[in-house]
Amino acid sequence: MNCTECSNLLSAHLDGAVSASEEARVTGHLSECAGCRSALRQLQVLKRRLMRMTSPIAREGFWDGIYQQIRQQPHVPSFSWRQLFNLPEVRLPALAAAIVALIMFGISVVLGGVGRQELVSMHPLLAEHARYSVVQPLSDPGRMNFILADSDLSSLDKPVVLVNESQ
Amino acid sequence: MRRHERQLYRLAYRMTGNHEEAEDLIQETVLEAFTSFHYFQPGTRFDRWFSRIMTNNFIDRSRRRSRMKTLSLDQPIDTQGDEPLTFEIPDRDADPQSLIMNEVMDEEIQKALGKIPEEFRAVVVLSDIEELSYEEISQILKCPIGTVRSRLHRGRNLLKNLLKDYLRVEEMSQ
Repeated sequence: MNCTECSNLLSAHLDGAVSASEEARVTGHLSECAGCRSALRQLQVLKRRLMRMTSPIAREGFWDGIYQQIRQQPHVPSFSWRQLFNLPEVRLPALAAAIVALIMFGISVVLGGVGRQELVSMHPLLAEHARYSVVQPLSDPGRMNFILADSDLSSLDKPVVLVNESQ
Repeated sequence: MRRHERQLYRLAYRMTGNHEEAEDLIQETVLEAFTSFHYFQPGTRFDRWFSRIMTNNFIDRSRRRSRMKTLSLDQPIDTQGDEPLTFEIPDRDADPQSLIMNEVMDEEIQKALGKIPEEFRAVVVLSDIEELSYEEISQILKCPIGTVRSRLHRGRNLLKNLLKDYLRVEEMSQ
């Protein structure tokens, strides 16, 4: 480890916030580098000094003024919709995604419903099939009509020729 | 909130560097905390929640101000107004010479804090003055622990360079 690498880790080393391997390398370097030891000492003095800084006190009456200001604020409802319905906290992106999904679903339902209605009104056989499949699902004449309508019935116009097997 | 008055004022003062701005910052934060109090989760620490709002307000204010006018980092911080500085002095520093030395040193540190970028200053204040852990700071600033570590490293080194003469004297006196 060189001095630049060590210098980059000294602050975290001071707080015991380096990994075990980093700690071993920093300690190894410090044992042989007076410059980095001095830098570490200065950081220690700085940290200790910062921790000893005095606590400034607010001027008299400042906090009373703050509380007075709070009391004068217009009433804010003490609940949110989330609290009212006991819902978990939802992050904004997730909420936005849910709203978009809901809108898309609503659109698909509305447009899909209209599409189906139009289709059914245009095809009476289909409408019949739809009706019977609900009221008489096991005997659905609508389905039979639908199948017949789609079938090639042209052969019915031709005369039936019975052929005797013995001929 | 009354229980945390001293701590919150100290945080505001150490970040802003003077009483007037500390008062403004607290007022702004109190109003914001009041209107969004329903986001505060009972059972969690109020002082941490309030500190988070205040630190973010401080950084936002600094950014807004730097957009409005360009400030040099070398510009000296404002001297105090008419309000006298009053400090609570710990018992261990009871002798008059120490009191004066401490006041001088505190002033120099405060000036140096005012010269480093706000993001670094906030982390140094939260770590070394408020004595919060890296994890707590990362929650307050909503940034990864690695960012806290690097900002603290850069902030401390800037302070170390700005205060090197004072630190040398302090080191010799220990």
